[in-house]
Amino acid sequence: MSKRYWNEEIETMKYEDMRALQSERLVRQVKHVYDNVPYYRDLMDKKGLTPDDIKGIDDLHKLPFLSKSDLRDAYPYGLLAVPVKDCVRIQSTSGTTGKRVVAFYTQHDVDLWEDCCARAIVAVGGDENDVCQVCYGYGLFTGGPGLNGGSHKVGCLTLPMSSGNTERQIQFMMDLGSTIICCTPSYAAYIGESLKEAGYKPEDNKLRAGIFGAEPWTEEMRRDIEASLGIKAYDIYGLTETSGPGVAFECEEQTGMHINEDHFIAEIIDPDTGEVLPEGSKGELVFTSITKEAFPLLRYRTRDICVLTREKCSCGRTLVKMSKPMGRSDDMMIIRGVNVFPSQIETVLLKEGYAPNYQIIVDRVNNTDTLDINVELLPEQFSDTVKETAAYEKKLAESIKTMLGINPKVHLLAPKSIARSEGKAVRVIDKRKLH
Amino acid sequence: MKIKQLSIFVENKEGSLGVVTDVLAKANIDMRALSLADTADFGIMRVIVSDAEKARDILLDNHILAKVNHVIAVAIPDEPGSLSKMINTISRSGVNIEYLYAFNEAYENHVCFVVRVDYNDKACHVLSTNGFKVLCEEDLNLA
Repeated sequence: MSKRYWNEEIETMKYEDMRALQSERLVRQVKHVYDNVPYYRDLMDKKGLTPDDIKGIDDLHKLPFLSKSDLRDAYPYGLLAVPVKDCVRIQSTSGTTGKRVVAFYTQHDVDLWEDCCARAIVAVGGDENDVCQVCYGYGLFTGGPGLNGGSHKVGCLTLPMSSGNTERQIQFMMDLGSTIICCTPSYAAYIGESLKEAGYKPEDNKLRAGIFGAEPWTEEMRRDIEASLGIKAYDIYGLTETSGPGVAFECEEQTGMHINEDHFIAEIIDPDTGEVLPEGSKGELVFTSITKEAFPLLRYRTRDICVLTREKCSCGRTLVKMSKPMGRSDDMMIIRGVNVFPSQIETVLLKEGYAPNYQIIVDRVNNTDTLDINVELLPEQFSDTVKETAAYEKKLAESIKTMLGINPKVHLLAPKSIARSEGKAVRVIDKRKLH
Repeated sequence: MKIKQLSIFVENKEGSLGVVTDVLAKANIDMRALSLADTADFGIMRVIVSDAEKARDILLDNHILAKVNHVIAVAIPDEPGSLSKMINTISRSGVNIEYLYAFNEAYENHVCFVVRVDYNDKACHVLSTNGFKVLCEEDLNLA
């Protein structure tokens, strides 16, 4: 009989007790940050705040916000709260140098992160009898290392596959009898299709559950993946800034993700005013890390729009639940699991001499994201031979790939053919209907 | 010995070729030879016309990207094997052919080809010394 909870005491803790635990940890964390992170101390000083003003969770709203731009300004060591000698790891997001996030971990931080992932695995019914195939990317990306660590803690036989090489994924899945699979939802869908192409039926594999995250996906996609792999598909949430996957995880009820509140305090704010909204309101999700040592972000604005609920969950967990993100309060897109800002693409176009008039078209075809970029051909690039003109398409596609890490399809259009709009130009067309 | 060719960028979308031919028709431009290349994203229309620069300017005025470059025109006997002879003469000299296409009309009972190569002067020289008639703009009444 598998465990229902990884940490029953925490996961089923009474609301009042959880608030008391959060308050105690918050007070300690604010002092730690104030004493060790001059960048945040300045922000607090500007508001006339000292750690003494934060006596518990009810004072949380007084603290200043942090956002991605603070991470950029303080890059690389500006938000580090412990000496480098105490850190054992970094993880990082994809993207340009300018937007890259580098997060630091002490051994304690790695442990708590892996612990959060262990809760997610147990919540989908995982235990030491499971064979857990981790096909999130390993390396700087948090997906692979996080679930890998969680799987170890639970005691599953862990298959550290990383992403890609689908033929080998399928071979190991079938030969070793994987029972749990962890990857991005689009890769899960792709593996499902590949299994079918290889002649396997959904019942031919031993998979029972999948833990999918790192990119937005719909309920429709969930049903597709469940049918093609013959499993139950669960959502997991996290971001490099707060540690990685496992900040929140789905239980058997599949109606939202339980937030690991003993480590992360969640708030919903109005993205325009910064005002905290009452429970059940739709707004921007903000996280405060109350246990991390090395990179403890206070009131970090995720830019993800969602709803929190404390309605009783049939799984018995009392941890607050967040809905699937319903959108963004900035223009970031997640394409094939990679964070993409339109400005990154614009930077490449301008550097290569193109007009700042372009269209970015994102779509999802057969459960895989596609990125098409329409750009106006420069008159001097035009030649009577196809190969010379086509070479510009190829060169631009390569530059964008270098910047983003994903392959776009570039289309050269006639000069002045992309409509000039008056006012705010519509540069991005996202056809995926993810929210 | 070279002649001027007009190349026109044609977007891969409905009606764009018609827009180009409309502009040329309204300007009363007679196309003597034409070839159309296409890729997944765009097409290139190449034409031989009597005043290539004028036609280019008219197209540019109509926001259609166009360019003039030099190609060579060769007349070969209208009989099996002569095209092959001409092509092999060029390639054996180390000159590469990018593309070729035929004129709409014959020249003194010969078939006339537009040939786009990487080295025009060398190709002209090799063709002439091997007995091929390389045509100039006057021969074709283009000037």
